[in-house]
Amino acid sequence: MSAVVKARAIFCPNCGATVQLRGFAHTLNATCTRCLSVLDPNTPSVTLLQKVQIEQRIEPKIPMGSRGTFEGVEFESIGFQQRGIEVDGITYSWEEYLLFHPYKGFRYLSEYNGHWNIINPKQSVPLMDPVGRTAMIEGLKFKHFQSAAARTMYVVGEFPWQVRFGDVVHVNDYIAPPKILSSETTTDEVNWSLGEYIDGKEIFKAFKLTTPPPATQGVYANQPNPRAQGSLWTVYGLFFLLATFVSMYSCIAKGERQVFHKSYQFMPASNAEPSFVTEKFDLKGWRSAATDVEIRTDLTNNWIAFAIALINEDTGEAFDFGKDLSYYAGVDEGEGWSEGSMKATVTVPSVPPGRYYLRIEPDRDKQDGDSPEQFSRVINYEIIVRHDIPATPILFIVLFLLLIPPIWASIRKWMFEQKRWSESDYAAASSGGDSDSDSGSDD
Amino acid sequence: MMRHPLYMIFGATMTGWLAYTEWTGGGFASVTRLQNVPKSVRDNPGAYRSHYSYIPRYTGGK
Repeated sequence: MSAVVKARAIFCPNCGATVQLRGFAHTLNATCTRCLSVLDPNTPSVTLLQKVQIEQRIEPKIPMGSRGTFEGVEFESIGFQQRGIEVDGITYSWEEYLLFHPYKGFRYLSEYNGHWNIINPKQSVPLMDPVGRTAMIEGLKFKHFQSAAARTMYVVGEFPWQVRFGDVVHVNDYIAPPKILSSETTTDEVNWSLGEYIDGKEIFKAFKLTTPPPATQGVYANQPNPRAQGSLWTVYGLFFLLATFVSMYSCIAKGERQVFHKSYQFMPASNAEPSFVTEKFDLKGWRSAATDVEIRTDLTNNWIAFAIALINEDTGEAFDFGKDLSYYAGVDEGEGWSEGSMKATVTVPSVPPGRYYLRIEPDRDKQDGDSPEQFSRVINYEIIVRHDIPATPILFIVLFLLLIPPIWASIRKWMFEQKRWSESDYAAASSGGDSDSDSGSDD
Repeated sequence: MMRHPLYMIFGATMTGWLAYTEWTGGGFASVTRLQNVPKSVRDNPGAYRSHYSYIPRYTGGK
Protein backbone atom coordinates (compact mmCIF):
# COMPACT_ATOMS: atom_id res chain seq x y z
CA MET A 1 0.00 0.00 0.00
CA SER A 2 1.49 3.32 -1.02
CA ALA A 3 0.60 6.46 0.90
CA VAL A 4 1.09 9.90 -0.63
CA VAL A 5 2.67 11.93 2.11
CA LYS A 6 2.87 15.66 1.87
CA ALA A 7 5.87 16.86 3.83
CA ARG A 8 5.68 19.80 6.20
CA ALA A 9 8.54 22.31 6.26
CA ILE A 10 10.06 24.34 9.10
CA PHE A 11 12.98 26.73 9.26
CA CYS A 12 16.06 26.12 11.38
CA PRO A 13 16.35 28.92 13.97
CA ASN A 14 20.13 28.47 13.95
CA CYS A 15 20.98 28.72 10.24
CA GLY A 16 17.66 29.42 8.53
CA ALA A 17 17.74 26.31 6.37
CA THR A 18 14.49 24.61 5.40
CA VAL A 19 13.80 21.32 7.18
CA GLN A 20 11.21 18.96 5.74
CA LEU A 21 9.14 16.85 8.11
CA ARG A 22 7.56 13.59 6.98
CA GLY A 23 6.61 12.00 10.28
CA PHE A 24 3.48 14.04 10.96
CA ALA A 25 2.62 14.38 14.62
CA HIS A 26 4.96 11.51 15.50
CA THR A 27 8.01 13.70 15.07
CA LEU A 28 9.29 14.96 18.41
CA ASN A 29 12.76 16.02 17.27
CA ALA A 30 14.33 16.81 13.94
CA THR A 31 17.77 17.88 12.83
CA CYS A 32 18.66 20.65 10.47
CA THR A 33 20.03 19.23 7.26
CA ARG A 34 22.58 22.05 6.99
CA CYS A 35 23.91 22.69 10.50
CA LEU A 36 22.69 19.45 12.16
CA SER A 37 21.16 21.38 15.06
CA VAL A 38 18.53 19.39 16.92
CA LEU A 39 15.15 21.10 16.76
CA ASP A 40 11.77 20.75 18.41
CA PRO A 41 9.34 21.27 15.51
CA ASN A 42 6.26 21.10 17.71
CA THR A 43 6.68 24.54 19.22
CA PRO A 44 5.31 27.47 17.21
CA SER A 45 8.70 29.11 16.78
CA VAL A 46 10.68 25.83 16.42
CA THR A 47 12.93 25.51 19.46
CA LEU A 48 16.65 24.94 19.07
CA LEU A 49 17.42 22.03 21.38
CA GLN A 50 21.08 21.34 20.61
CA LYS A 51 23.80 22.98 18.55
CA VAL A 52 26.58 20.70 17.42
CA GLN A 53 30.00 20.98 15.86
CA ILE A 54 30.58 17.97 13.62
CA GLU A 55 33.98 17.62 12.00
CA GLN A 56 32.91 15.13 9.38
CA ARG A 57 29.43 14.64 8.02
CA ILE A 58 28.22 11.12 7.39
CA GLU A 59 26.30 10.31 4.25
CA PRO A 60 23.67 7.65 5.02
CA LYS A 61 23.86 4.66 2.69
CA ILE A 62 20.07 4.92 2.37
CA PRO A 63 19.33 8.57 1.49
CA MET A 64 16.81 10.41 3.66
CA GLY A 65 13.41 10.53 1.98
CA SER A 66 13.96 7.44 -0.15
CA ARG A 67 11.30 4.75 -0.05
CA GLY A 68 11.57 1.01 0.12
CA THR A 69 8.97 -1.76 0.27
CA PHE A 70 9.16 -4.39 2.99
CA GLU A 71 6.47 -7.00 3.61
CA GLY A 72 4.35 -5.26 0.99
CA VAL A 73 4.45 -1.89 2.77
CA GLU A 74 6.28 1.12 1.43
CA PHE A 75 8.32 2.78 4.15
CA GLU A 76 10.14 6.07 3.91
CA SER A 77 13.53 6.66 5.43
CA ILE A 78 13.13 9.70 7.70
CA GLY A 79 15.91 9.39 10.27
CA PHE A 80 19.48 8.23 10.55
CA GLN A 81 21.81 7.89 13.47
CA GLN A 82 25.21 6.47 14.09
CA ARG A 83 25.75 4.92 17.46
CA GLY A 84 28.78 3.32 19.01
CA ILE A 85 30.18 1.49 21.96
CA GLU A 86 33.65 1.71 23.37
CA VAL A 87 35.51 -1.46 24.25
CA ASP A 88 39.12 -1.34 25.48
CA GLY A 89 39.49 2.15 24.10
CA ILE A 90 38.23 1.19 20.64
CA THR A 91 34.95 2.59 19.35
CA TYR A 92 32.73 0.19 17.43
CA SER A 93 29.95 2.01 15.60
CA TRP A 94 26.86 0.98 13.68
CA GLU A 95 24.21 2.81 11.74
CA GLU A 96 20.46 2.90 12.28
CA TYR A 97 17.80 4.04 9.86
CA LEU A 98 14.32 5.04 10.95
CA LEU A 99 11.61 4.04 8.47
CA PHE A 100 8.08 5.40 8.63
CA HIS A 101 4.70 4.60 7.15
CA PRO A 102 1.71 6.77 8.11
CA TYR A 103 -0.48 3.73 8.91
CA LYS A 104 1.99 0.98 9.72
CA GLY A 105 4.21 3.07 11.95
CA PHE A 106 7.96 2.68 12.38
CA ARG A 107 10.59 0.13 11.45
CA TYR A 108 14.31 0.32 11.92
CA LEU A 109 17.20 -0.88 9.85
CA SER A 110 20.58 -1.37 11.45
CA GLU A 111 23.87 -1.99 9.70
CA TYR A 112 27.21 -3.05 11.13
CA ASN A 113 30.10 -4.19 8.94
CA GLY A 114 27.71 -4.99 6.11
CA HIS A 115 25.33 -6.98 8.33
CA TRP A 116 21.74 -5.69 8.24
CA ASN A 117 18.74 -6.18 10.50
CA ILE A 118 15.17 -5.05 10.07
CA ILE A 119 13.80 -4.21 13.48
CA ASN A 120 10.30 -3.95 14.85
CA PRO A 121 9.60 -2.14 18.14
CA LYS A 122 7.83 -4.42 20.63
CA GLN A 123 5.18 -3.31 23.07
CA SER A 124 5.24 -6.60 25.00
CA VAL A 125 7.94 -7.42 27.52
CA PRO A 126 9.80 -10.72 27.16
CA LEU A 127 9.91 -13.30 29.90
CA MET A 128 13.38 -13.20 31.47
CA ASP A 129 15.17 -15.86 33.48
CA PRO A 130 16.23 -14.74 36.97
CA VAL A 131 19.84 -14.01 35.99
CA GLY A 132 19.03 -12.39 32.67
CA ARG A 133 20.82 -14.96 30.51
CA THR A 134 17.78 -15.88 28.46
CA ALA A 135 14.62 -14.15 27.30
CA MET A 136 11.45 -15.65 25.86
CA ILE A 137 9.17 -13.84 23.44
CA GLU A 138 6.80 -15.04 20.72
CA GLY A 139 7.68 -18.63 21.55
CA LEU A 140 11.39 -18.14 20.89
CA LYS A 141 14.12 -18.49 23.46
CA PHE A 142 16.85 -15.89 23.13
CA LYS A 143 20.29 -16.16 24.67
CA HIS A 144 22.03 -13.12 26.06
CA PHE A 145 24.82 -12.03 23.75
CA GLN A 146 26.18 -8.76 24.99
CA SER A 147 25.45 -5.61 26.91
CA ALA A 148 26.97 -2.20 26.34
CA ALA A 149 26.50 1.52 26.77
CA ALA A 150 25.65 2.86 23.33
CA ARG A 151 26.32 6.52 22.59
CA THR A 152 24.64 8.49 19.82
CA MET A 153 27.47 9.83 17.67
CA TYR A 154 25.61 11.29 14.72
CA VAL A 155 22.00 12.19 13.97
CA VAL A 156 20.19 13.40 10.90
CA GLY A 157 16.47 13.48 10.04
CA GLU A 158 13.51 13.31 12.39
CA PHE A 159 12.60 11.05 15.26
CA PRO A 160 9.59 10.17 17.39
CA TRP A 161 11.67 10.48 20.55
CA GLN A 162 13.92 13.02 22.18
CA VAL A 163 17.26 12.63 20.43
CA ARG A 164 20.57 14.35 21.18
CA PHE A 165 24.13 13.95 20.07
CA GLY A 166 25.94 12.17 22.89
CA ASP A 167 22.86 10.41 24.27
CA VAL A 168 23.78 7.20 26.08
CA VAL A 169 21.50 4.18 26.56
CA HIS A 170 22.26 0.81 28.05
CA VAL A 171 21.78 -1.87 25.41
CA ASN A 172 21.25 -5.61 25.92
CA ASP A 173 21.20 -7.96 22.96
CA TYR A 174 19.73 -11.47 23.02
CA ILE A 175 19.98 -13.76 20.03
CA ALA A 176 18.19 -16.69 18.44
CA PRO A 177 19.56 -16.53 14.90
CA PRO A 178 18.30 -15.11 12.63
CA LYS A 179 16.41 -13.07 15.28
CA ILE A 180 17.80 -10.58 17.72
CA LEU A 181 15.99 -9.16 20.72
CA SER A 182 17.28 -5.86 22.08
CA SER A 183 16.48 -3.69 25.03
CA GLU A 184 17.48 -0.06 25.37
CA THR A 185 17.37 1.22 28.89
CA THR A 186 17.45 4.85 29.97
CA THR A 187 16.75 6.31 33.38
CA ASP A 188 13.09 6.64 32.41
CA GLU A 189 12.16 3.62 30.35
CA VAL A 190 13.04 0.30 28.75
CA ASN A 191 12.30 -0.18 25.05
CA TRP A 192 12.28 -3.64 23.46
CA SER A 193 12.69 -4.40 19.80
CA LEU A 194 12.83 -7.57 17.75
CA GLY A 195 15.09 -7.70 14.73
CA GLU A 196 15.72 -10.20 11.98
CA TYR A 197 18.87 -10.62 9.95
CA ILE A 198 18.39 -9.57 6.34
CA ASP A 199 20.68 -9.62 3.33
CA GLY A 200 21.94 -6.15 2.43
CA LYS A 201 21.17 -6.86 -1.22
CA GLU A 202 17.47 -7.17 -0.35
CA ILE A 203 17.51 -3.79 1.36
CA PHE A 204 19.31 -2.06 -1.47
CA LYS A 205 16.94 -3.68 -3.93
CA ALA A 206 13.93 -2.55 -1.88
CA PHE A 207 15.18 1.04 -1.91
CA LYS A 208 16.16 0.75 -5.58
CA LEU A 209 19.75 1.73 -4.79
CA THR A 210 22.09 1.18 -7.67
CA THR A 211 25.26 0.94 -5.60
CA PRO A 212 26.19 -2.46 -4.16
CA PRO A 213 25.68 -2.91 -0.40
CA PRO A 214 28.82 -2.92 1.73
CA ALA A 215 30.53 -6.30 1.91
CA THR A 216 30.02 -8.23 5.13
CA GLN A 217 32.92 -8.56 7.51
CA GLY A 218 33.15 -11.20 10.20
CA VAL A 219 30.18 -12.97 11.76
CA TYR A 220 27.34 -10.93 13.22
CA ALA A 221 25.52 -11.77 16.45
CA ASN A 222 22.34 -13.11 14.84
CA GLN A 223 23.71 -14.00 11.43
CA PRO A 224 22.26 -17.39 10.44
CA ASN A 225 24.81 -20.15 10.46
CA PRO A 226 24.97 -21.28 6.82
CA ARG A 227 25.93 -24.77 7.99
CA ALA A 228 22.85 -25.09 10.20
CA GLN A 229 20.34 -25.34 7.35
CA GLY A 230 19.39 -28.97 7.80
CA SER A 231 21.87 -31.56 8.88
CA LEU A 232 24.09 -33.61 6.60
CA TRP A 233 24.06 -36.22 9.36
CA THR A 234 20.43 -37.06 8.59
CA VAL A 235 21.31 -37.64 4.94
CA TYR A 236 24.39 -39.59 5.99
CA GLY A 237 22.18 -41.81 8.15
CA LEU A 238 20.00 -42.61 5.16
CA PHE A 239 22.99 -43.44 2.97
CA PHE A 240 24.46 -45.50 5.82
CA LEU A 241 21.32 -47.62 5.95
CA LEU A 242 21.11 -47.87 2.17
CA ALA A 243 24.77 -48.86 1.72
CA THR A 244 24.55 -51.40 4.56
CA PHE A 245 21.41 -52.86 3.04
CA VAL A 246 23.08 -53.14 -0.39
CA SER A 247 26.10 -54.86 1.15
CA MET A 248 24.03 -57.19 3.34
CA TYR A 249 21.78 -58.11 0.45
CA SER A 250 24.87 -58.85 -1.63
CA CYS A 251 26.26 -61.06 1.16
CA ILE A 252 23.03 -63.00 1.41
CA ALA A 253 22.56 -63.27 -2.36
CA LYS A 254 26.11 -64.47 -3.04
CA GLY A 255 26.83 -68.14 -2.82
CA GLU A 256 30.48 -67.95 -1.69
CA ARG A 257 31.04 -71.39 -3.21
CA GLN A 258 34.24 -73.32 -2.50
CA VAL A 259 35.35 -74.54 -5.91
CA PHE A 260 38.80 -75.94 -5.20
CA HIS A 261 40.66 -77.39 -2.22
CA LYS A 262 43.84 -79.44 -2.38
CA SER A 263 46.94 -80.15 -0.25
CA TYR A 264 50.52 -80.01 -1.48
CA GLN A 265 54.07 -80.36 -0.24
CA PHE A 266 57.10 -78.24 -1.03
CA MET A 267 60.69 -79.36 -0.55
CA PRO A 268 62.96 -76.30 -0.72
CA ALA A 269 66.12 -78.38 -1.04
CA SER A 270 64.83 -80.25 -4.06
CA ASN A 271 66.23 -79.39 -7.48
CA ALA A 272 62.97 -80.28 -9.21
CA GLU A 273 60.96 -77.61 -11.02
CA PRO A 274 58.84 -76.06 -8.24
CA SER A 275 56.04 -74.69 -10.44
CA PHE A 276 53.05 -76.79 -11.36
CA VAL A 277 49.44 -76.44 -12.45
CA THR A 278 46.35 -77.67 -10.66
CA GLU A 279 43.31 -79.49 -11.94
CA LYS A 280 40.73 -77.42 -13.70
CA PHE A 281 37.74 -76.09 -11.87
CA ASP A 282 34.70 -74.07 -12.87
CA LEU A 283 33.86 -70.57 -11.68
CA LYS A 284 30.15 -70.59 -12.36
CA GLY A 285 27.75 -67.73 -12.88
CA TRP A 286 26.85 -65.24 -15.58
CA ARG A 287 28.72 -62.20 -14.27
CA SER A 288 32.13 -61.37 -12.90
CA ALA A 289 32.67 -61.93 -9.19
CA ALA A 290 35.42 -61.74 -6.60
CA THR A 291 37.40 -64.91 -5.96
CA ASP A 292 39.38 -65.77 -2.84
CA VAL A 293 42.54 -67.84 -2.98
CA GLU A 294 43.48 -68.99 0.51
CA ILE A 295 46.85 -70.51 1.38
CA ARG A 296 47.23 -72.53 4.60
CA THR A 297 50.64 -73.80 5.65
CA ASP A 298 52.28 -75.61 8.52
CA LEU A 299 55.15 -73.10 8.74
CA THR A 300 57.10 -73.01 11.99
CA ASN A 301 60.07 -70.69 12.20
CA ASN A 302 60.18 -70.72 8.47
CA TRP A 303 58.94 -68.79 5.46
CA ILE A 304 57.71 -69.43 1.95
CA ALA A 305 56.78 -67.31 -1.06
CA PHE A 306 54.14 -68.13 -3.64
CA ALA A 307 53.75 -66.84 -7.18
CA ILE A 308 50.26 -67.82 -8.28
CA ALA A 309 48.34 -67.30 -11.50
CA LEU A 310 44.62 -67.94 -11.86
CA ILE A 311 44.35 -68.77 -15.56
CA ASN A 312 41.21 -69.01 -17.68
CA GLU A 313 41.74 -72.02 -19.86
CA ASP A 314 39.45 -70.79 -22.63
CA THR A 315 40.38 -67.12 -22.94
CA GLY A 316 44.00 -67.21 -21.80
CA GLU A 317 43.32 -64.43 -19.33
CA ALA A 318 45.41 -64.71 -16.16
CA PHE A 319 45.26 -63.06 -12.75
CA ASP A 320 48.83 -63.03 -11.50
CA PHE A 321 49.68 -62.38 -7.86
CA GLY A 322 52.11 -63.34 -5.13
CA LYS A 323 52.03 -63.94 -1.43
CA ASP A 324 54.77 -64.26 1.17
CA LEU A 325 54.13 -66.21 4.33
CA SER A 326 56.31 -66.47 7.39
CA TYR A 327 55.68 -67.69 10.88
CA TYR A 328 58.16 -67.54 13.74
CA ALA A 329 57.51 -68.38 17.36
CA GLY A 330 59.52 -69.01 20.49
CA VAL A 331 60.10 -68.15 24.11
CA ASP A 332 62.09 -65.08 25.08
CA GLU A 333 62.96 -64.43 28.75
CA GLY A 334 60.15 -66.69 29.83
CA GLU A 335 57.53 -65.14 27.57
CA GLY A 336 56.17 -66.75 24.44
CA TRP A 337 56.19 -64.76 21.24
CA SER A 338 55.14 -65.22 17.66
CA GLU A 339 55.15 -63.16 14.51
CA GLY A 340 53.70 -63.57 11.06
CA SER A 341 51.01 -66.00 10.04
CA MET A 342 50.73 -69.51 8.68
CA LYS A 343 47.91 -68.62 6.33
CA ALA A 344 46.84 -65.82 4.00
CA THR A 345 44.08 -64.99 1.56
CA VAL A 346 44.27 -63.05 -1.69
CA THR A 347 41.04 -61.69 -3.15
CA VAL A 348 41.08 -61.57 -6.93
CA PRO A 349 38.51 -58.97 -8.04
CA SER A 350 36.10 -59.20 -10.95
CA VAL A 351 36.88 -62.68 -12.21
CA PRO A 352 34.64 -63.64 -15.16
CA PRO A 353 32.96 -67.04 -15.08
CA GLY A 354 34.74 -69.87 -16.91
CA ARG A 355 36.99 -72.86 -16.55
CA TYR A 356 40.17 -72.08 -14.65
CA TYR A 357 43.27 -73.66 -13.21
CA LEU A 358 46.03 -72.37 -10.96
CA ARG A 359 49.68 -72.17 -11.84
CA ILE A 360 51.53 -72.27 -8.48
CA GLU A 361 55.20 -71.58 -7.94
CA PRO A 362 56.35 -71.97 -4.32
CA ASP A 363 59.77 -70.58 -3.50
CA ARG A 364 62.05 -70.60 -0.52
CA ASP A 365 65.67 -69.55 -1.22
CA LYS A 366 68.48 -70.78 0.96
CA GLN A 367 69.52 -68.06 3.40
CA ASP A 368 72.91 -67.47 4.99
CA GLY A 369 71.71 -68.47 8.44
CA ASP A 370 69.84 -71.59 7.30
CA SER A 371 70.95 -74.87 8.78
CA PRO A 372 70.77 -77.92 6.47
CA GLU A 373 67.89 -79.27 8.56
CA GLN A 374 66.04 -76.00 8.37
CA PHE A 375 66.43 -75.66 4.63
CA SER A 376 65.46 -79.22 3.89
CA ARG A 377 62.33 -79.08 6.02
CA VAL A 378 59.21 -80.02 4.03
CA ILE A 379 56.48 -77.39 3.96
CA ASN A 380 52.90 -78.66 3.72
CA TYR A 381 50.28 -76.32 2.40
CA GLU A 382 46.70 -76.23 1.16
CA ILE A 383 45.17 -74.10 -1.58
CA ILE A 384 41.48 -73.23 -1.28
CA VAL A 385 39.55 -71.26 -3.90
CA ARG A 386 36.18 -69.66 -3.17
CA HIS A 387 34.15 -67.86 -5.81
CA ASP A 388 31.56 -65.07 -5.65
CA ILE A 389 32.57 -63.69 -2.28
CA PRO A 390 31.16 -60.39 -0.89
CA ALA A 391 33.28 -57.27 -1.30
CA THR A 392 32.77 -56.20 2.32
CA PRO A 393 35.77 -53.82 2.55
CA ILE A 394 34.19 -51.66 -0.13
CA LEU A 395 31.28 -50.98 2.23
CA PHE A 396 33.65 -49.55 4.84
CA ILE A 397 35.40 -47.42 2.23
CA VAL A 398 32.05 -46.04 1.05
CA LEU A 399 30.86 -45.34 4.60
CA PHE A 400 34.15 -43.58 5.37
CA LEU A 401 34.00 -41.41 2.24
CA LEU A 402 30.37 -40.53 2.97
CA LEU A 403 31.41 -39.49 6.46
CA ILE A 404 33.84 -36.78 5.31
CA PRO A 405 31.31 -34.10 4.19
CA PRO A 406 29.18 -34.15 7.39
CA ILE A 407 32.28 -34.05 9.57
CA TRP A 408 33.64 -31.14 7.55
CA ALA A 409 30.28 -29.34 7.71
CA SER A 410 30.12 -29.84 11.48
CA ILE A 411 33.59 -28.39 11.90
CA ARG A 412 32.65 -25.40 9.74
CA LYS A 413 29.46 -24.91 11.73
CA TRP A 414 31.35 -25.08 14.99
CA MET A 415 33.95 -22.58 13.72
CA PHE A 416 31.17 -20.20 12.66
CA GLU A 417 29.66 -20.33 16.15
CA GLN A 418 33.09 -19.79 17.68
CA LYS A 419 33.48 -16.64 15.60
CA ARG A 420 30.01 -15.45 16.53
CA TRP A 421 30.49 -15.88 20.26
CA SER A 422 34.02 -14.47 20.22
CA GLU A 423 32.32 -11.09 19.77
CA SER A 424 30.03 -11.56 22.76
CA ASP A 425 30.32 -10.95 26.47
CA TYR A 426 30.99 -14.68 26.78
CA ALA A 427 33.96 -14.94 24.46
CA ALA A 428 36.03 -16.86 27.03
CA ALA A 429 33.21 -19.40 27.42
CA SER A 430 32.15 -19.39 23.82
CA SER A 431 31.80 -23.14 23.57
CA GLY A 432 29.06 -23.02 26.14
CA GLY A 433 27.20 -20.42 24.22
CA ASP A 434 26.69 -21.99 20.88
CA SER A 435 24.43 -24.83 21.89
CA ASP A 436 21.39 -22.65 22.23
CA SER A 437 22.37 -20.36 19.41
CA ASP A 438 21.01 -22.82 16.88
CA SER A 439 17.55 -22.77 18.33
CA GLY A 440 16.24 -21.28 15.14
CA SER A 441 17.61 -24.07 12.98
CA ASP A 442 16.25 -27.48 12.31
CA ASP A 443 19.54 -29.19 12.91
CA MET B 1 17.47 -33.51 2.20
CA MET B 2 17.32 -31.54 -1.01
CA ARG B 3 19.15 -28.74 0.74
CA HIS B 4 22.30 -30.72 0.06
CA PRO B 5 22.10 -31.57 -3.65
CA LEU B 6 25.85 -32.04 -4.01
CA TYR B 7 25.98 -34.43 -1.08
CA MET B 8 22.93 -36.26 -2.41
CA ILE B 9 24.71 -36.72 -5.76
CA PHE B 10 27.91 -37.77 -3.99
CA GLY B 11 26.06 -40.22 -1.75
CA ALA B 12 24.06 -41.69 -4.63
CA THR B 13 27.28 -42.09 -6.64
CA MET B 14 29.03 -43.80 -3.75
CA THR B 15 26.11 -46.12 -3.06
CA GLY B 16 25.78 -46.87 -6.76
CA TRP B 17 29.48 -47.64 -6.96
CA LEU B 18 29.13 -49.94 -3.94
CA ALA B 19 26.23 -51.76 -5.55
CA TYR B 20 28.12 -52.11 -8.85
CA THR B 21 31.26 -53.28 -7.07
CA GLU B 22 29.32 -55.80 -5.00
CA TRP B 23 27.59 -57.03 -8.13
CA THR B 24 30.75 -57.47 -10.18
CA GLY B 25 33.04 -58.45 -7.31
CA GLY B 26 35.31 -55.46 -7.77
CA GLY B 27 38.10 -54.58 -5.35
CA PHE B 28 41.58 -53.19 -4.91
CA ALA B 29 43.71 -56.34 -4.64
CA SER B 30 47.25 -56.18 -5.95
CA VAL B 31 46.65 -58.51 -8.84
CA THR B 32 48.16 -58.21 -12.32
CA ARG B 33 45.75 -59.01 -15.12
CA LEU B 34 47.37 -60.63 -18.15
CA GLN B 35 45.92 -61.58 -21.52
CA ASN B 36 46.71 -64.32 -23.99
CA VAL B 37 48.53 -66.71 -21.70
CA PRO B 38 49.44 -69.64 -23.98
CA LYS B 39 47.74 -72.97 -23.47
CA SER B 40 51.18 -74.58 -23.31
CA VAL B 41 51.46 -73.39 -19.70
CA ARG B 42 49.53 -76.47 -18.66
CA ASP B 43 52.17 -78.71 -20.18
CA ASN B 44 55.17 -76.64 -19.20
CA PRO B 45 54.42 -74.59 -16.05
CA GLY B 46 58.06 -73.61 -15.66
CA ALA B 47 57.96 -71.67 -18.91
CA TYR B 48 55.46 -69.21 -17.49
CA ARG B 49 57.12 -66.11 -16.13
CA SER B 50 55.08 -64.82 -13.26
CA HIS B 51 55.00 -61.07 -12.88
CA TYR B 52 55.41 -61.63 -9.21
CA SER B 53 58.58 -63.75 -9.60
CA TYR B 54 60.66 -60.69 -10.34
CA ILE B 55 59.75 -58.80 -7.17
CA PRO B 56 62.32 -59.05 -4.34
CA ARG B 57 60.65 -60.94 -1.54
CA TYR B 58 60.73 -61.30 2.19
CA THR B 59 63.37 -63.77 3.23
CA GLY B 60 63.89 -63.49 6.95
CA GLY B 61 62.47 -64.15 10.36
CA LYS B 62 63.35 -63.00 13.82
